[in-house]
Amino acid sequence: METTEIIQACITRDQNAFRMLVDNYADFAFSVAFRIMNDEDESKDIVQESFISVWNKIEGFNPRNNFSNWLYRIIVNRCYDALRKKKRNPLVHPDDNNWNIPGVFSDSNADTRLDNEEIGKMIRRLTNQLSRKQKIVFVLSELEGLSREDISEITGMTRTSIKSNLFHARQKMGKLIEKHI
Amino acid sequence: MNNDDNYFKVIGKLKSSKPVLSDKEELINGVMQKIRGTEQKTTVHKKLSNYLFGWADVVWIRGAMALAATFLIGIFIIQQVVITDRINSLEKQLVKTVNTLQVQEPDLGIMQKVFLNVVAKDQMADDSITVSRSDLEEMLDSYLELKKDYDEMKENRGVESYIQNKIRQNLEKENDDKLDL
Repeated sequence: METTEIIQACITRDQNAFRMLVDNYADFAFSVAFRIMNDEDESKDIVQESFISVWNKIEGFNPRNNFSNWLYRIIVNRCYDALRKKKRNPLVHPDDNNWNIPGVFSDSNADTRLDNEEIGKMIRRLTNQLSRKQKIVFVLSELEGLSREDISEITGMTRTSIKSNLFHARQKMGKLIEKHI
Repeated sequence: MNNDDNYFKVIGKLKSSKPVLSDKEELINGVMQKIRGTEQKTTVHKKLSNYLFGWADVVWIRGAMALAATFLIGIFIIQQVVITDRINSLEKQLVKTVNTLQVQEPDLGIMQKVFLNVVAKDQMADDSITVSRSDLEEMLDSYLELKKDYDEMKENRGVESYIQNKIRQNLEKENDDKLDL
């Protein structure tokens, strides 16, 4: 069953079809949310809320449009709100100054995959000094590999703003890398 | 290794290491459970609103209600027009009645005059007075009659000298009274 057909079935409130949709997109949704939030539990909560939002709003979605971008938009908006709340009550990570992550800079184990915890730590350290917008643009552009048109559609930001946020994000992260590695 | 190389190495590593969603089934079940709860609430809400307002979906009832509403609005507009027209005609009748009363009954009592002043106040300017044609004619007739009598008296000198003597005597008498005092 293709995504368009699944979405059509979801529009008619078919819960089995929606289960298939969640099953197909849960990994993708978690990956995006985790790269922005850098926390497993928070990311899972965001994924759940995002899918509930999809279920509630799917009747207004045109199946001919790009579902991934729509899901991206919902997840990114949820993450943006969560980051705003988080800024008010920041979590303290005691090992945030420890840059010694195995598998990143040693050529001997270059193919080693990082686990969730390592990915979270790495992104948190790199993006610690970025603003919320800069972080989101960085994740979507550099880690998710989306084009500026897609990022503009997802975030509602102009291309100039995306370019500027990405430039500043790269500059800040370059300085951090230079300092610590 | 320069700074850019380090940057791209870090980004490349993060890009290739996708966060893995553990307990996917649990997350999917959680989402499905929540949407079932939402659906049940929605169903109850739908049933209630169908029970209360379901009749609005019946085509002929909807048409009849629209017709009745149009009819009532029409009646309201006609009523407003008729009422305004009647108020205007009553105002005109009031002015006519006041004039008629003045013509037919010139010797009105004080209470009737006060009543007329109150009722006809709006019809008169502050520095004007309403005099009926019959009163005016009566006043002119009286004036002409008095003038005619006065002219006749003036022509008769005996009467004039008699009046002058009388006036002189009265004056002298008044002077004598003052001297006695």
